[in-house]
Amino acid sequence: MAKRVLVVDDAIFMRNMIKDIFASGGFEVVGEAANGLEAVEKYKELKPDLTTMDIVMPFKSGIEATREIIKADSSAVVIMCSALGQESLVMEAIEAGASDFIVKPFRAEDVLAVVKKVLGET
Amino acid sequence: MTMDMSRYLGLFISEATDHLEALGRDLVQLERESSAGVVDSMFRHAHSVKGMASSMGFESIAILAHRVEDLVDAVRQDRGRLDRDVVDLLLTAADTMLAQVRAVAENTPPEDASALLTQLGNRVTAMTGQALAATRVARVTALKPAGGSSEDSDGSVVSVPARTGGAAPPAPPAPSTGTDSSGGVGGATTQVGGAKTSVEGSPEASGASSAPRSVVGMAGASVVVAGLDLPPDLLAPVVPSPDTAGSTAGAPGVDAASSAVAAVAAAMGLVAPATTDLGDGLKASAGALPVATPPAVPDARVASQRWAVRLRIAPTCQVPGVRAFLVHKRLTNLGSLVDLRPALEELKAGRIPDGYIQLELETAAGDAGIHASLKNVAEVEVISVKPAVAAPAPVVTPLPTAEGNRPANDSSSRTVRVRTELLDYFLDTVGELMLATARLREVSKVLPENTRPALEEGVYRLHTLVKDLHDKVMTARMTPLSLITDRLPRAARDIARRKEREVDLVITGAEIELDRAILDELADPLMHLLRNCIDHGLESPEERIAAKKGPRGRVLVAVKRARDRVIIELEDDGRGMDPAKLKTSAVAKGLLSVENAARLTDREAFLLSCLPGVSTAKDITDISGRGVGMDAVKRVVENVGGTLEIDSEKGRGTRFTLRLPLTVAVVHLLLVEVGEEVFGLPIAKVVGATEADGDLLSRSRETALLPHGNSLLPVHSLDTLLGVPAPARQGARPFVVMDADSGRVALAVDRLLGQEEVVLKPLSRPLDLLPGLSGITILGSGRPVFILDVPRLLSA
Amino acid sequence: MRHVIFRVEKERYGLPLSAVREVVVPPERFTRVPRAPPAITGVMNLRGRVVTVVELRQLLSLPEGPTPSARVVLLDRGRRDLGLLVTDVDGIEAVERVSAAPGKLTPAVRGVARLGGLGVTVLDPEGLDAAVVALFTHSK
Repeated sequence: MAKRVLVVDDAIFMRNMIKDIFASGGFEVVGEAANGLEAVEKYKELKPDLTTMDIVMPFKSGIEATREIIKADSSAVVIMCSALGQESLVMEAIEAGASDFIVKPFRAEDVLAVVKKVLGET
Repeated sequence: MTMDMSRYLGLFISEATDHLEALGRDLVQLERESSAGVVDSMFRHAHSVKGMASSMGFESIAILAHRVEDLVDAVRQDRGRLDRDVVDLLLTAADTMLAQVRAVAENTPPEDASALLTQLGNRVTAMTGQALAATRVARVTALKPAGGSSEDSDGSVVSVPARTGGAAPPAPPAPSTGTDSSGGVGGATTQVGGAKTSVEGSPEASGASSAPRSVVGMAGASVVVAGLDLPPDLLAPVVPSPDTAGSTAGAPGVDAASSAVAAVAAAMGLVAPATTDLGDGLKASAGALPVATPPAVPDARVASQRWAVRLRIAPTCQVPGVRAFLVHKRLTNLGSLVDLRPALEELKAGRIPDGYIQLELETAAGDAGIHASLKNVAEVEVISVKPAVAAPAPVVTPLPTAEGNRPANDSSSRTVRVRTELLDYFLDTVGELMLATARLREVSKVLPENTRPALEEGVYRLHTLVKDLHDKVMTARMTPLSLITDRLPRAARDIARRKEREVDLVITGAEIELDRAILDELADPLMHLLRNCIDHGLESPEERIAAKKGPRGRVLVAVKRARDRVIIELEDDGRGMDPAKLKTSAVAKGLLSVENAARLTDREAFLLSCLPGVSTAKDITDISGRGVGMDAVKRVVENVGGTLEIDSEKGRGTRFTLRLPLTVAVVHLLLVEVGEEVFGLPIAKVVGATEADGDLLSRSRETALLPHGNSLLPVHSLDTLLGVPAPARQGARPFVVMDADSGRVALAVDRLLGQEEVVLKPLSRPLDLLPGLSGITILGSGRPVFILDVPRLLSA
Repeated sequence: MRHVIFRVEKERYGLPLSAVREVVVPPERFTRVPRAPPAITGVMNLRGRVVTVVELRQLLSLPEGPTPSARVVLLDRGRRDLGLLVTDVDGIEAVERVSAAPGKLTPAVRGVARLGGLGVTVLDPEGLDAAVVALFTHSK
């Protein structure tokens, strides 16, 4: 069965792009969230196999959301979406329990490679 | 292989514009009131635009956004830095980016922004004393903003970073490398050094910006760095090559450093206790061991052992520092790290010559555990894991990185994604245009005869245009039913499993489209009908075989389009419904008189199942008995302007037919006055109107009865039903006869105001919590008027 | 943080500026909402949008007073259109320190602050929302 993905980003543009990337890789995007608060709620509701998490978002940052998600489910797989220049933030997210990260601007192949690797599919 | 980015263009334009406008608003607010929240919001807007523009390959927008982000970040760190000039500069930058986004939309060359970039860059370095970082931009061959100005003459647009931490001198004119770079170059560097940096920076920069196509394809990299931040190591003469790196790294004499690293790591709380539990990794991995297992595998008795690990961060990795940090984190989870090269701080900073990392780890997880903990980390190659007794073998053979060869998305649709909120906004606005038009028409009625025709003609023209626009907006809102029917198969399986039924679900016509607003409403009712079919309609396999049917039940969901309606049929081949039982139940509940029950046709009797409490299901199950009932299904269908029919044959099955309008927005109303209030009654439910003297009506107990045709209808006073004060009335008054769930009723009102075609607005919280209201509209006079859901009003 | 300061009779209240969309003069007449709790004054048409207006006095269970309500404070709550009917609006002031309100706790009240030597009750936008919804759900 296709792996279920939750996409978190405050930009619809980014969400759509990430969704398309996952669709092309045979994943099922089961939910989206536009901020950290929503992300935590959606995660608890949907229990996705994988969550992609933007870092800079309103209301609650991706790092804080990751921390809460991991607290609620230590086996959660959260992949941070970062931009160049956010290295220290990504490291903070890794400390918070993020499994891996991808770097904007995204290339579909890179994203899928990281994701499949993290999920142990390669 | 690059993604086709053109499909995101529309969304990019609309969303980037939103962010930039918001940025402008924030700036204006910031000047009035300097708050951290506003600065954060500005940072997010700039950051979002940078991310989108770089993904789209719009370099000049991305770089500009990056500089704005830098400047806002500087202000964020110290809001005292904010002055009028900075606000002006940021506003100019926001405007310029807006213009560039517009240029993208119009396919015209973007405005040259090099001078602005210089100013921004100078400001940032002046404030922070820090160098400017490079902006990464995706190479999108399919899509380029028209005009190549940013590529050759604007080598200046690409910032050349310098690592000098010193304060930047004011920008001297720098003809060769571009003005922006000068902000960062300099500082501690000598004249010669500065010149050298410039010379080196220049080809990098132009290589990055003007020859992207040649870069595409090299090692599959379609992303290039515009302006490379070369670490000092690369400029140093000694750069370990892969094989020398092996021997150097494996050389002895590392102990002093290693203990220091361990101490630092321990102080930072990064080292896990020496005794670690058997991580998931160990259990998970056992089967996935590489062939080259070391000879000395610890036996089943788990003891902590020291392992020498060598690994390599893929050369294509964009942020090796973070990658290395992730590796570090994973390994410290297994045990204690006693040696790490390069040191953690070097790793985090990305200073990892050729990507090689070596370390020694004390862990009980064994080599399998080590492999397992790194197995799922991308861009990392584990070269060797060996017991740390002998010096590791110096030979290193870097494996070629696996080449992901995924086909790019080949969708070449010319459509542009529009946010649903935007569509809602369009519909709202068009609705308001219709109201405004109606208002104008009202005004024209009171004008003198000679001026009226001109205005009326104008209003008529406006009305036609607005109506046309309304149609177009409605068309844009059309969404295929699959949006909600796609959920049904899964639900059917779950319900069937819980009820130990066997069911085949067949869905046809799901590609047919309906207004999204109606679809949203229908999701729950459709699910309920499906539950009803499986839960109550279908028999158990044994019963079915006894009834000479196949053991598997069948539920058919068929969607059809019939002129301006969409018909959804949900049909099962189960036991069917018994009209006599439904009538008995309704009479027993006091919802229907015996005489009226006798008069109902079978079809009318089936609809009794939609009355609360009439269901003939033997027991309320946990599946059908919760949440929406049949009454709610009927109400929703009628509230969106549709009808529900039920057909059933005992032993053969039941069919629910939903006839729905394509769009929800326009309804016909009969407007009535009660006291000082006006209410709308849906014409579809109005049978007629009549006038009578309330005091002369016959009564059955408390209820007055109005003669209508051959029958006497129960009279309800609308003022009492609604709790609206109205003066007591003598003599004749109007009554509206309407269809309600259990037959017709007469509503006493104060005045009939006439019919009107109105734009229905859904009720927002908290109004949607009130029973008996199906929506609201605004009349031409500007007055809001509630639309009543009479059956619900009577039952609640 | 800047707050919009308004009054119910003499009592002063504040809402964060970011939570207020605008302040308007109430219309001559409201459209009455059938079967609504008494605190609901009615709905009004604001440039084509339907706004539900709640009398703050009743929402907070304050005693009746002699002064007519002269302003509607519209909350900025996304697509949800809610207005508070108040006696008058004083202006916009910076409210820095909000301390816990003494006595009974209602979700609509965030706390109290001092402003120019006088007390201001600082309201919570989400709490107000919840209080209004509670009016509807509890009355049934």
